[in-house]
Amino acid sequence: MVIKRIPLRTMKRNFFQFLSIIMLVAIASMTYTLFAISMEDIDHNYKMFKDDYIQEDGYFITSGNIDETILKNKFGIDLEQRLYFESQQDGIILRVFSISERINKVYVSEGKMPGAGEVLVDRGFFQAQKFSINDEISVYGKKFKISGIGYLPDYIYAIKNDQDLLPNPEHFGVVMMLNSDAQKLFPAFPVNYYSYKGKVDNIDEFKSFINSNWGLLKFVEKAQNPRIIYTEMKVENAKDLTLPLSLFIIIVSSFILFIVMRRIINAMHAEIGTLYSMGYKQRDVFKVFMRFPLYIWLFGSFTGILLGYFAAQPFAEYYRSFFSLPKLANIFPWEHILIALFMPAIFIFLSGYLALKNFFKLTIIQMLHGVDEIKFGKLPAIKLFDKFQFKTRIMLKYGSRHIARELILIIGIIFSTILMMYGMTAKDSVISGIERAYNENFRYNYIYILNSISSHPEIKLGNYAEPYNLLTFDIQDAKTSIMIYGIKDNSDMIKLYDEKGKEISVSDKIVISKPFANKLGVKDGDDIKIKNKFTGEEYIIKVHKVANLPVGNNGYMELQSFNKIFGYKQNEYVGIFSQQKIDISMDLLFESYTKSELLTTIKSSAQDISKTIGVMAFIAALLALLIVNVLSSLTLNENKKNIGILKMLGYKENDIFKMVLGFNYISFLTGFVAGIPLSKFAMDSLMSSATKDIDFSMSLDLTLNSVLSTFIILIAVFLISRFSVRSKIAKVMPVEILREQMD
Amino acid sequence: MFVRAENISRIYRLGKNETKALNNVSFEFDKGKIYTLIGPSGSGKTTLFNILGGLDRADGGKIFVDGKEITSMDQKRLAEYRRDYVGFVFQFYNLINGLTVYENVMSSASLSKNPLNVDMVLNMMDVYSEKDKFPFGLSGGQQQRVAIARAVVKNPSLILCDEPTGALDYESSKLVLQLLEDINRQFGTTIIVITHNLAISKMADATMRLRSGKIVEFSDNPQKIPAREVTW
Repeated sequence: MVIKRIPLRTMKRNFFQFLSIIMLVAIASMTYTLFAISMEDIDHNYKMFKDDYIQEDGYFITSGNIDETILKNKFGIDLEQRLYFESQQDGIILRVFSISERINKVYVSEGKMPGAGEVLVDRGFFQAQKFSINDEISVYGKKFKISGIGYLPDYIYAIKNDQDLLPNPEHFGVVMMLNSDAQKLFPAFPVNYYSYKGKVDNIDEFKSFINSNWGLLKFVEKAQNPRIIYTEMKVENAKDLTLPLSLFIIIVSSFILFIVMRRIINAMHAEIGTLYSMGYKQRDVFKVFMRFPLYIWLFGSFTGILLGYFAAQPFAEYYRSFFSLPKLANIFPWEHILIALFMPAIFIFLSGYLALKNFFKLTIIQMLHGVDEIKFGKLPAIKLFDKFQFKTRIMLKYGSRHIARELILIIGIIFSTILMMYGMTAKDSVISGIERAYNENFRYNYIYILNSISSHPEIKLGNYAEPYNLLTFDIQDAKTSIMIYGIKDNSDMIKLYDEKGKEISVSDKIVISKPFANKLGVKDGDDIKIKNKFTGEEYIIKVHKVANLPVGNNGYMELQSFNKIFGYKQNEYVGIFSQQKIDISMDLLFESYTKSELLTTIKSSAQDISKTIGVMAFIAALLALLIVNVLSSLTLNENKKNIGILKMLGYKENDIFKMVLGFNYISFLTGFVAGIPLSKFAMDSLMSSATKDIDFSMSLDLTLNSVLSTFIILIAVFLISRFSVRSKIAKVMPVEILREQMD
Repeated sequence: MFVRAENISRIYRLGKNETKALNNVSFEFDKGKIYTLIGPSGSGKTTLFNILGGLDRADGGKIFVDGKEITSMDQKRLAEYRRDYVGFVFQFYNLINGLTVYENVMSSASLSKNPLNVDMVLNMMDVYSEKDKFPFGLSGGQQQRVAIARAVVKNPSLILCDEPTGALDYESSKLVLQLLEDINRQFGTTIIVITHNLAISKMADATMRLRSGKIVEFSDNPQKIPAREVTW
């Protein structure tokens, strides 16, 4: 049938309009393909890695050397001791592990397993330090040769401290060496580190047993280990976002396609009527016109899938670079390709079908002579409009006449606002928020964690240091835990403020961070049921205040009250906050870190976050640009006749533009304003679902900076887009309209 | 009789208002002749054109074309009737903008069981040299000749023309009329032309005058003149 050529030719004639829809479909398919394939790749490789290299179910650190056989037999688990120590030199901290045989086995991606005098280092550190294989590295004053790049299943997210948000390979690395080398290097280990594999039925009994026999210093189940769980959280988070994000773009593009198709069909009414008059049947015409959605789907989806597929590999690598995760296998996820292909098809064909279905209800005579008169009869006659000046009235009437497309514009702007605001806020919260917290709330420069809770008479504390005590509790009825600090009353190291900026003093009740309060759904005066992680003892504790801290599952109490409530003697403590460096004997010290390390980490990671935000902002801006462009062009094309008449009457182009498209400003502002609370809601939901089952809380608060930045970018895009369609008004010649009117 | 209409009526309803566009109209047209339908706006010309073409339905009465009753046909059979029997020429050409001149004519030829040669028809209409152009690149006269080519290429028994010269200048109009006359002579096609232009009726075998949905005059034209001699 020769008439099947009509759609492609029509698309060529209205190239930019259709290109915009094809691009929207391509973005949707690309977004889905890119995220789904790369996340599947990471997920698949992560699962392979954790299964094949026997990821631990937990680890613990004791002060005494345990009897492995007793534990294994009593609790039916596998257990393996690892030698573990830290080496610090030139501002770089190396965490050294002996290579284990059964649990947390090492995978070597480049080079070879180390022999005597050789080590493996983690990939992030290897790359950040620009090492080559066979380079030398100094560990605890002794030179070792780097034999390769190693990965540990329990260090997928290679952060130094449990509280860290981001890895800092410039200043922290994981080193793996033979057990014999580790023993030679450090004959007397101050603590004993064990990884276990196997399900423990009664974890409280397990911890309590270890604690009472060998002095438990730290116990971390896999689900609470940020070095493992962050990976799963980030992948799940990205996976959760993939489908809704792509679906949204597809739905918006389908709506726009519906509007464009209706316009094209209306513009071709006489041609379609003629086809009928020639003897073509509805089925023939339907088949021809369904080629519009077919081509849009084919061009858009295939382009998107190809772009997404080829970008998925580098994207997965880029994503993997945040983790210390090896690539063990290549995958080709057919199911995602098929989803990316057919998901847009459903919506695109549906919108095409609906656009045609309405038209086919017309009689051949109506098709031949047009339906303008019918449409005109449906013009809204809202009396309220008549109170305004003529130009404003016309502008409002145009807006209400095209209410569906104004709604799409609003939804598009809301979506772009959310996407852009999320990126901006993530940056603000993670970088500025935490930086601010560490300047305003946490005023110490060093934290020392000792390996026992006592009054430590051997340590002399100057007025630049304060002792603190610390216990970790599980929260009852919630899959999360809290670290409660006992700190000095009127502490100079930890300053807590409420929402209004008023300082909060600590007492025998607990002060908790805002994100944690949000996560638990508690407020001032509420009770929380907690259970000591080591002893299993239960307490009910009252929330005194909620402190405006941006991050952390933390609670704070007055030190002496803490000791009294939790059964410690007065003046006992486990750690020190200090503004100056303190020399503490290695046999007393469990671990230490400085605030500057954390801030350096955050700053060095800011660049990577900025890149991601850049991509999000670009997608958001492109979406807004395409949507505004297509809809504005449509409105102008549809109203050429009226524009010509207004020109003949003597209206200037600027006035005509305002009358015909002025309503867009209202829609833009409505979309943006509605986008602000929805952004907050979306971010809270996302953060709450991402951190639901893990010991991590963070609040993403909108800042004036992020709102203003988003507004400036979006309004710029909006104005550029409008400027680009404005030339269409100049091209409308009144004389042509007169001729058409005559026709 | 090629076309026989018996008591055709068509009523348009808009709310409570009823308009009788055709009121018990009966007539007969012979095969191979040219007829003009004339009358003022609202006289029922276009309504009759639509019903004869199978584009619209009558509310009462019967129409037989080549012995087949088209007024009782369902949509499917009406489409087949339009396909096999009727060629349309509209005032504003109604060419498919997305198809070239050749493809426009081809789109019609491909529906016919017994089409004429497309190149021959394009040559006959003197638009062969424009066959690869799109309609918007042609003058009004050329577009109307393509529209006639599209109507005639199906080799229909009946060509219905709705104001075929209404949008054309004098020279182009005369050319179009001559072509219609040539088609009638060469293929024996019955041609019915709706027009406001009384001069055109001079080239017709008979003229039917309508007013307010009724036939007020049906006159044969024994002094029929060739289309090239028609002037106005």
